[in-house]
Amino acid sequence: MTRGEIAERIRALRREIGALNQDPFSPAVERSLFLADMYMHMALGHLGEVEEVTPELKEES
Amino acid sequence: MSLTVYSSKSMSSIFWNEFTETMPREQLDAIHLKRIQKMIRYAYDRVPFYRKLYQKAGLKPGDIRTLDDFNRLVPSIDKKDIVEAQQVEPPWGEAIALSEDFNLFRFQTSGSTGVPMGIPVSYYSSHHYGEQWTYGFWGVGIRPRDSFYFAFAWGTFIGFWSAYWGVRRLGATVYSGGGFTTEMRLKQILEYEPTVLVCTPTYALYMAEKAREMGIDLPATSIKYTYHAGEPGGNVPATRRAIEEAWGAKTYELYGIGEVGAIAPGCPRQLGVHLAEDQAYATVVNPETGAPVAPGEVGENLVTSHIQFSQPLIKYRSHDLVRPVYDKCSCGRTWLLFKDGVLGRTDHMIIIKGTNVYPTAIETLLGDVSGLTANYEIHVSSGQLNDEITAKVEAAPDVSASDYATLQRKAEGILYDKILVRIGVEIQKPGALPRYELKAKRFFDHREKH
Repeated sequence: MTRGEIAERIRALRREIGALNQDPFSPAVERSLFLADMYMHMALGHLGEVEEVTPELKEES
Repeated sequence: MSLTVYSSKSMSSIFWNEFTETMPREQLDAIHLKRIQKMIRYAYDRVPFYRKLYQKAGLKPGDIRTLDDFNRLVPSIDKKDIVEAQQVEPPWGEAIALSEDFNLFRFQTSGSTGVPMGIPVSYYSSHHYGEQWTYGFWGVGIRPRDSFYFAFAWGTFIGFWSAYWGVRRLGATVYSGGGFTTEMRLKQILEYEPTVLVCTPTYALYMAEKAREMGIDLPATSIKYTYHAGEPGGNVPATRRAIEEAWGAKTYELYGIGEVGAIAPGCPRQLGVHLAEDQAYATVVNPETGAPVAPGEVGENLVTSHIQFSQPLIKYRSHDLVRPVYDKCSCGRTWLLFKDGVLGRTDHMIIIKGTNVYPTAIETLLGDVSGLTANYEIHVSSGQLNDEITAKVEAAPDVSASDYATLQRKAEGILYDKILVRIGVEIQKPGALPRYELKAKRFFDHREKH
């Protein structure tokens, strides 16, 4: 898989996690998914991708 | 099937992240520009201090279209600016970008140069602070099966907290030396058999002194690496050699700035430190004119953090003097090398007859004088025509006091031959100078302030 393809797969996963956390099962699951998203943001940085400054900020829907 | 933390492919890599660590300069700079543009927009929108600063300078985030724009147009900031912004409404005032919900850690600078600055660190920032250490650990061959002994009190000094975050990121074992005396720490090293020692270089040498008193043969212990931060030393050849000989280990140093990050882990070839360019950008300038210095020339590191999300620091005056080398390093990295680490401080600069004298240069030369130790102090006072420098240095325990005068003349001669400036040397008995667990106070400025 190319670097660009890996980045796209990670972005897709982030979108999926974002959707799952719209209606969190519990604080525990929400936090775990949040951390997964945070690490994926980090991985995108390692791949040379420049995303939002920090994934910590998100607006409550 | 064997259980492993990393795949064999990853374990065989000599880089933590080869893609960015060996990236051509043009690509690195293109990424820096994008990150800087986003950080400036973020700071402008979220931090009153930056919005006011940039508005006063007639600058809008969209004005930064190139790195040259950034280097030319964006005003640099100093620690006192951030401290003043915090004082508007302590603890964070107008310097903060994130609400308290996000600031999981609160540290502060040592206050060695004035009022301590509060350092907020978000959860995500803490991972990046740690990652900068991980780059260094992995690069010198430290792996998850290594184990770390932290000879550190776990106070508000962020440096070794971030090293701990780096060990967690790596996946290795941590032994805490918090709350123990030096003797107890040495006994724990014998008991637990860690392979990596983390502490200041000064403290590593102090531990070695204590070990000698206790009859412990340090080179025979499990320690294979010593990794240092908090003060120069790991990149000062004589000091590094003294630590390596005392511990029978390889010695490395990370250059960090508490409020900015653990920005530059040690070069595996011990040529200095490499800026972790995934997480920081450096503009190296003449500290008096602000003009960028040529590659290879000494200047002040103005650093921009890509990963301080709580309290952004953009073009921040570190006051650290560095020699930037942009060529690909023999270790394989393209990341900017600060050759020989931090060479001095702008506020410790001594100019005598037009010659810049760096305290670390004095340390290096004294370390080459047989019979002297790495325990020293530099005192600067105002003379009639020029600043006057005196170095107080401890003699080695096996040197007779009757030989001190000869040793003094020898040291003064070497300093004059190399620096071409008269520097007085006062030989001290072993143990005469104070010992420190964290930053050692080496530089004493008695000059009249104007």
